[in-house]
Amino acid sequence: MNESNLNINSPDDELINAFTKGDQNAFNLIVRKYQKKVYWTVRKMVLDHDDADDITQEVFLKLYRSVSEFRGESKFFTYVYKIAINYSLNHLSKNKKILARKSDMDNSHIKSHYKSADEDMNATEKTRLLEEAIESLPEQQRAVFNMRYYDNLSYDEISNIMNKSVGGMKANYFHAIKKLEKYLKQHKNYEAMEIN
Amino acid sequence: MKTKYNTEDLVHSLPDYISDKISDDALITAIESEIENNSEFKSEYDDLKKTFNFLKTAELEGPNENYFNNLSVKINQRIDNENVVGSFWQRLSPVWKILLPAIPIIIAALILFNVFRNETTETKTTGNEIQTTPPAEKKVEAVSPKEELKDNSLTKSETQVNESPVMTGKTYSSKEKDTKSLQANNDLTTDRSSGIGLRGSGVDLKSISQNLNQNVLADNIESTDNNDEMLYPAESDEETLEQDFYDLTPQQQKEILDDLKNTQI
Repeated sequence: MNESNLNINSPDDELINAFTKGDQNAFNLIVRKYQKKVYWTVRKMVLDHDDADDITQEVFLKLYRSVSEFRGESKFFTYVYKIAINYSLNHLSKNKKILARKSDMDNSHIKSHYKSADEDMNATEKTRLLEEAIESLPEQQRAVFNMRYYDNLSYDEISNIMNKSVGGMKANYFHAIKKLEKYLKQHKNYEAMEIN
Repeated sequence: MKTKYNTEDLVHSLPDYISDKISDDALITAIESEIENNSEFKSEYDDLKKTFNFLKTAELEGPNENYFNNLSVKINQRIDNENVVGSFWQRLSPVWKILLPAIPIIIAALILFNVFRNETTETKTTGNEIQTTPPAEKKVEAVSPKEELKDNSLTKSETQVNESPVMTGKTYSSKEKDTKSLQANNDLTTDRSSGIGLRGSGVDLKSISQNLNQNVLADNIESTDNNDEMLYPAESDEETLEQDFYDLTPQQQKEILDDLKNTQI
């Protein structure tokens, strides 16, 4: 295929080949093709938009520098996804203490807010509760939960990304859901919700 | 109903069952059977289902529409910035690529060398000060013949120099200088207050000579290696001194003799 015929729907290997041969436009197409997926992968991990924005850019910078290292042993997006997850996990480890402190402050405020509310939770409150629930997950469980629940990755893919066994990842996913459930049950409005 | 799945497998598969992510029919059948027959399992299933229903209804708030339009622009800007730094490095010649990282190391090494050298000098100075004031009784076991020779020379020189201050003449100034140096460094070579000479004082000459070797010789003698005769007067010098003495007026000769008497040597 001629380089000028490339577009956002072109197969990954063609985009990569064109880019490694010096076609800068091919890299822009890769960015446009995967930017939303990468952003949301990161965003669900770090939750904060500004952090997600910064990490997403870092992921594509890393990709720009190292795309020639991609050997095609896995799907290209799995390769990109792995970079995104690793960068997110690094960010979470670096900011663990800050996040824990922030989370404690926010939780005390939110819990009191929900206890005083009689009406059902509105969308904003649900979003906030969801963010807090995800934030309560340990880093690895958070990654596995996001990969399985939101991104529909198979356990094989998850185990490949996390370098852990398939059985371990399955158990990790179950425990992540149980932890979310436990967190959500602390809120009166969650118990009152008719979501069956 | 007996299946190939144990309870733990079934429990861990519940989240995937609830979100319709199981393709294995046998596993689906086993889970459904367990829900019907096991109340505890059913309770677990209900709790998880409620959690999944909440997750379905709650969504994270996304960025504004323009964000993704500008994202690739921001990424390209960062790439350009990196390329500027990268191209600067690439433009450098291989020599500079080695020298630039080496410069801070060289500077650090020079600073360390200077600091080390200053410390060493201070240590040496301190060491010399300690060595110049040992007790007179200190004995040194091994002294080389060469050192002994110097001892004798020094003794001779010292004795003669002690006699010479009263003399005036051409050779006096250089000898006075050397004598002063010797005296400044080595009051220990002789007990002047008691007028007892080196030989008869009982002072350990080897110890003294070592100190002399380390201090006086190092400072004075070594610097005049080729002019030893200046420090150790030769016979011709003595003749010159004698001649100088006879050249003096009787009055001057008398003064010198009186001075010599007063020295009680």
